[in-house]
Amino acid sequence: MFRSRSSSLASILFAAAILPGVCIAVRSQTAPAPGQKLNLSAAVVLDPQFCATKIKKNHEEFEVGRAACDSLKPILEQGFTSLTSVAAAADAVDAQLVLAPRFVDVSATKTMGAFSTRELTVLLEWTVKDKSGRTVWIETVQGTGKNHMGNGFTYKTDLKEIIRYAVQDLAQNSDAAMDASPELRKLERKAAPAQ
Amino acid sequence: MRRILRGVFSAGLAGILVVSYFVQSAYAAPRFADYPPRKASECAFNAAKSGLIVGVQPVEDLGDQKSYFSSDLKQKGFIPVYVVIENQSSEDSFLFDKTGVKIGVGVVPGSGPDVSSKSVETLQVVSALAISPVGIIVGAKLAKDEALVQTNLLKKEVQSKTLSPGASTSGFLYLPVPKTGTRQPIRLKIFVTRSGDDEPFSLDFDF
Repeated sequence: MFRSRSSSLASILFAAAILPGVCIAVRSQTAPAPGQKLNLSAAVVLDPQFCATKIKKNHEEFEVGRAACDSLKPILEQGFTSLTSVAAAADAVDAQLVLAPRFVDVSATKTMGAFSTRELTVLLEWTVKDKSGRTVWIETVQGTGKNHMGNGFTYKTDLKEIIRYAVQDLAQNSDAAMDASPELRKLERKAAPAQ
Repeated sequence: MRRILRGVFSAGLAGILVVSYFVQSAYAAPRFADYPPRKASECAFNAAKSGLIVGVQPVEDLGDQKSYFSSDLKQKGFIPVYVVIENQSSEDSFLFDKTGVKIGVGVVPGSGPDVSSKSVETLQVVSALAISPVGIIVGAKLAKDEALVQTNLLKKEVQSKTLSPGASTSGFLYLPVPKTGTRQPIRLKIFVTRSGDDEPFSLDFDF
């Protein structure tokens, strides 16, 4: 009796140990392959005005421009074979794509307590032009960050951190959106024979 | 003595818990219902062009505004208009640039989309940053809930997007209207550019 119980328990444990592995294997077979880099040279326009963007909202100032200029290039260059940053669109002479960001808006919730978590939402609009200057892709990407509201001593640091979190999320979502764009993939195919 | 102290401590703790429960209730975040997504063909106004269908649904009912935005937007000088754009083409992509949306106020419905007509002279660019209530709705006195209302407005706003074949986008435009009295007819012009074309085309709505 005891032996049959322990053997069924052992088989359940064995199944529990094996099943996740089987599921992962099945999933990895059916899931699409991770996005490959876009085989295009791109230039992201980080002009001084964009990098200095500060959006005032409800008596708070969000220095999103500086954070974006720190985060965008290192994250976006993972998605292209080459990516440079330029101070003006006119400087992107050799690039096949020119990526121009523009802040749409920010909004932040407020909390009563210093240790309560608040949320910052940042919206960024991308306009991507080809070499001829024609717009080939427009997309608005959202980034969110969560952090403590902070008290009188920690408010500035907490604000900086929440901006950094939101902008990093924004940059990662931008990279994912460009990677998944059929229009940019189409352009990549078009450009391939010329390379 | 110890028993008395314990009693006082327990009563104090219970009091704090009761107070914090009521304070939390008083400051409970407003709940925002999601606007039920609808197809362009199900909207009060819709138009089609070049494989693109656009539906427009003004949300003027105060009850609806309270449940979706937790705010009386008419009183703030705005009317939320639900916009859905569907690309039914199997080959073409379309670029929807929100900054290109235009409105004309006081246009007689059915006066035609002729750009040279008088009605179009009154058109003004609906700029997300310039007139969106997201930035205007809150005055000098900011309540915690109002910041949540702002965030909700921003998240529900329709944004610029590339519509790949078979793709769609939806969200709200917040159009300016007089705070009091009956509003004048509105003409909404939604501009879309076919990918690869230089010039956009518009779909017009009068309501």
